Order: sequence, then C-alpha cells, then structure tokens
Amino acid sequence: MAQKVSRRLIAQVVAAKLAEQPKAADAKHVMRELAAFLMENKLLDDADVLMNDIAEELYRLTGRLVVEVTSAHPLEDAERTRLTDYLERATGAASIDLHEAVNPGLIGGLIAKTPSAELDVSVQSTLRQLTALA
Amino acid sequence: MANDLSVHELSQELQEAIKGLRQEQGLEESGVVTRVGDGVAWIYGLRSAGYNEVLEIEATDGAQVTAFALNLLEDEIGAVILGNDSKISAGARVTLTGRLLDVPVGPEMVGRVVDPLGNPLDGKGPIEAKNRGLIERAAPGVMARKSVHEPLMTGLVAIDTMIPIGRGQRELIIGDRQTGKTAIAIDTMINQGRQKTGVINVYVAIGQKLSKIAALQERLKREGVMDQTIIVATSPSDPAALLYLAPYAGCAMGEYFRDNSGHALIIYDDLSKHAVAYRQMSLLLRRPPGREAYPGDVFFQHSRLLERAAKLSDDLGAGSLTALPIIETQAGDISAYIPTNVISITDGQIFLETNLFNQGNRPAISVGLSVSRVGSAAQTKAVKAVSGSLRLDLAQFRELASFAQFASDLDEETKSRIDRGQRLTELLKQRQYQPLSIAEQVVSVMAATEGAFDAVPVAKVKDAQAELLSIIASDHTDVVKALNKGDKPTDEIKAVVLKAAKKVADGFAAASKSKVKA
Repeated sequence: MAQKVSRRLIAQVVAAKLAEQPKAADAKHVMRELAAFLMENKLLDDADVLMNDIAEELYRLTGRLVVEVTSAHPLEDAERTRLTDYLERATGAASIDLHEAVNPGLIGGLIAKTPSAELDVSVQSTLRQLTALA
Repeated sequence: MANDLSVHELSQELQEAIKGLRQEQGLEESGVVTRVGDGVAWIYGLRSAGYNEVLEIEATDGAQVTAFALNLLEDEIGAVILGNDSKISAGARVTLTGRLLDVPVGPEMVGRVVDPLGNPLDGKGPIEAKNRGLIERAAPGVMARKSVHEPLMTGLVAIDTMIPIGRGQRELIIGDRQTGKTAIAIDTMINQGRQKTGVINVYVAIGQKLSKIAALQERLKREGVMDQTIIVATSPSDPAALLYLAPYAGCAMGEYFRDNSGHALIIYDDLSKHAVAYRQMSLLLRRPPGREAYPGDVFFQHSRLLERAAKLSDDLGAGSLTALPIIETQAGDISAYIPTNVISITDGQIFLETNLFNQGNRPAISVGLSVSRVGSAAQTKAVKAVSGSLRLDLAQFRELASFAQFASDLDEETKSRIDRGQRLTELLKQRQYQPLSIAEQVVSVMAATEGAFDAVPVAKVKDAQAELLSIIASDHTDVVKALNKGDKPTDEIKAVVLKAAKKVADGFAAASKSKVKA
C-alpha cells in the first residue's frame, strides 16, 4: 500500500520554492506543478487546508503573515491601522498582508483569521454564545 | 417598581453572562473540524495541542462541546468527544483550553452518584467541591511508599483467612459471569461500614446496567454504607470515551483521600469492559490493532491505573488506596490476553469458579488458584493465629475429595481429613450482605480447625456456627472485645471459645444421633 505523503511536508517544499522565486510567473508555475501533484495523488480534497499550511510555512520563512479579515462594514483607514498594529504585536510578524471582505451578517465587529489562529470580535458570535447559554 | 427591579436583575444577569463569555477576546490559536463521526473528531490546525489536552468545539447551536486530543498526527489531531457529537459538523471551530481533564474531588463527593466528569446523576443537586483532581496522574514513586502492613477486612472468612488483603494492595477478582465477583466487592464495602473502619469506598461501574447500579445504590443505602461511598457510573449506552475515563476519574477521587492521610477502597467493575471500550476508541482513531484487535498499549492503560493504588509513607501521611479490579473471563480461561495482563499487574487474585458456585459453595472461591502476594503481612494477628492450618487442611481435602465416595474402604486418618475438609468447606460458605467481624471469624475458624465441629453433621455446620457466635456474643462480650482488637488470642480466650464450641457441637451431635435412631 502506497504511503500517504504528509501534507505538512508538501507545504514545506512548496513554501520553500515560493520563497526562493518571488516573481509571479514563477509562483504560477509552482502552483501548476502542485495542482498536477495533487491530482495524480488524489489529494484534491486537501487543497484548501494545504494552502493554509503553505501560508503558515511562508510566514515562518519570510515573516509575512496573510490575514483574512471579514467585517460587518468596510474597514476605515484608522481601523485598518489599529488592526494591523495589533496583529503585528500579537504574532511578531514582520509584515501583515490583509485580505478584506464584508459580511453584513456579522452585525458588528470583525473576524480576523491567520493560518493558525483567529480573532473573533463579531457581534454575531457573541449573540450565538448568549443563545447557547439560554 | 417591580418592573424596574426585574429589568435591573435581568440586566445584571446579562452582564454576568457576557463577562463569562471568553474573558480575553484576543488572537487565539484555533483549528477546524475536518470530519466527525462515532465520537471522534478529526481536527486541522492546533499544532501546539498537547496529548490529552482538553479542546472545545463550537457546535452548530453555539454551545461548546468538550473533547480531548488523543491522536497527535503530523497533519491532523484525532480528538475524542465527551458529550453529544450530533451537533458538531465539519468546519466547526476548535480552540485549546491549555488544561488536562480533571474532576471534582473531596469529601463533598461522598454519598453521591456521578458520571466520569463529576456531574451528579442522583438528582441531589450540584456538587460544590472545593478541589479538583487530574484524571491522569503519575503514580507515587518508590520512596513515597511504605510496604502494605495494615489489613483491609472484607468480612468474608475465605478471603480474610487465606487470601488476606492489605491497605494499599491491588487484589484482582476474576471469574466467569454470574460467579459472585461484584458480590465480594459489595460485601467488602458493607464491611467497611459495619466495622466502622473509616475507609471511603469508590465503586466505579464501567458499562454496567443502570438497573444494577440502582440496585447496588439501594443496597448500600439500606446497609448504611452509602454515606461513605462514591459511585462513578457509566452504562453500556454511554459513549466509549466515558467508559474509558471512568476508572481514572474514580481513581482521582480515591487519591484525594489517600493523599490526605485517609484510606480509600476502589472497585473497578469491570476492567474487561474498560479494555473493550478502549479498543473501540483506538480502532476509531485508526490506531493499529494488535492481539485480539486490542491496541498495543492496552496493558499500559491498566498498569498505570493500578499503580496509583498504594500505601504511602509516614512522611506523606500514611494514607492508602486499595484497589479491587474485577475481570470477567470466558469459560474460565484465565490465560486469555486481558486476564493475564491484569494478573501480572496485581498483587494477587481471587479466582471464582462456576463449578463451585453451582455446587452451592458461595463465595465460589477457588482456594487453590487464589493467592495474595502480600499474605500474612496484611493479616490481623488474631486471624493469622487461627488460619495457619486452614489452607493446608483444605489442600489435603481437595486431594482426597474424590475418594469420599469410598468412605467405607478408607483408613481412619484419610476419613478424618475428608470429614474435616467437608466441615471447613461448609464453614466457608457465607450468605451475601453478611460480612463477619474479626471476632466472629476467629471464633468460627478456631472451632472448626481445632476439631470442635468434627461431630456436627456437615449439613448442620452453619447452624452450629450461628449458635456458637450467638453464645459468644451474649455470654462473653469481653472475648468479643478482645478479639476485635486484632491481637493474638490468649490461651484463656481459646479455652472459652473451645468450651462453648464443644457444648454446641455436642448438642448437634446428640440431635443427629436421636434422629438416626428414630
């Protein structure tokens, strides 16, 4: 029986390649090779979590942290700066790369996700917990 | 005004509830459930999770479900869910708690029936325990211990005379189904109450029928022992994770008394079901199966549990935790995998045989196969003084028992050994829920081994014993007092007992002769 390749190992190899080749064209080539590898080894279902692992490895190698921020309303500049400062202090990252999205369903506040952690200060989450207590 | 007050109170309650929600809302490490089923959740992320660390999974309704990490793999974590897994879906958020599983411990638990997480099951309200104990804990080291030297009396003559148990010992009770294993455990617990030993009982029911647990609780209440007993209950319908945790949780509760200069007795009923529950969990966690599909570390599950039963040194308070694990065999096979594992861990075993049970010898203890590795070091001097020849007499009887049918062809010495053995075997029979005190055991065994009952018909030995005990209790209270202290019987005491025994025996012998004449 073929041994399953560790997803973490795949992420380490891919992240190392991406860190060596910062140009967009080279990164595209690496991603195509990765897609072919996943298809050949029937690992397509792991693609999402693998990207998360790659992001974490890239952060470890380059100090650049990718953060997905979902907020109830579009972030203002001051809010963006405060969030970035907080994340830099909390994670020790050299730089923060924010990817913003808006979800009115949060009602208020925001959710910030890094590859391995989450900051959830949304009103929706607080209400859900209050409901569970009832 | 009434409306204002109620709004104010509601507002306060709301503020308290909000305070209780995630005190520090900072960046916290989180993972996500990738798949869930059969009580196991596979989690992506949480790289810094520790083995056995408690995790919290956010269910679909916002409630937090507890789980603990048992499989730390390179790409994912396998966590066993404690609670209802039906409300957990893939994509659920998981956070670390930074703590290991613990249960409430302390005197507040005594008299209560709880589940392995310490939640009350007896409907008597919440338990306000001041202390908590870790479910997984290291056993005391060598220097923390003292050798077992204090007796733990079960009240069963066959055990206290020939297979004596001491405080801090692990004595296995092993036998087929319906041979009286739990009955021995119950009588031992009742005896702690009757003799006012101060020993706290912890009964861990692992996958036992709820009706059986309820009946046990009722019996302990009736005997006045429930107020010094903790019952940790799991039924066959509980998740395997709870059955797995039950003995460790019970042990944590017993350890509280051990570590605070007290004495506790813990009964694991039974570890065979515990091994099966652990096997189920391990197979669902995709751990490689070994012999009989048990995981490779099934021995370690029991050895680390039973090592926590110990007698502590005087420096550490001289407390003790005595363990009576129970194992159920199939067709009397004590050489099977799990039985041999636990036999090699414990300090002796009490082997119950179906044949003996069916013949009416109850407790159905096989004296030949049972042993206590602590032995007379844990026996009261009084009992030790009279039980010396008991095992030998019974061993000789067993060798000759098959010749009993040829009574007329045997020499006198053989006949007398058979007669003595038959009477000793009859004497060792004991009704359930009737443990005997030290004095009662010493008087009974002394009378039989000194030959006082040799003239009593075998079928009347128990009646003769009852009459003798009644006479000693009513006419010789000083003898009862002296013997119950545990000291070796003096010649005067021996003379009083044997005189009374002879009188009783003569009465039964005469009655038997007149019956024969008629």
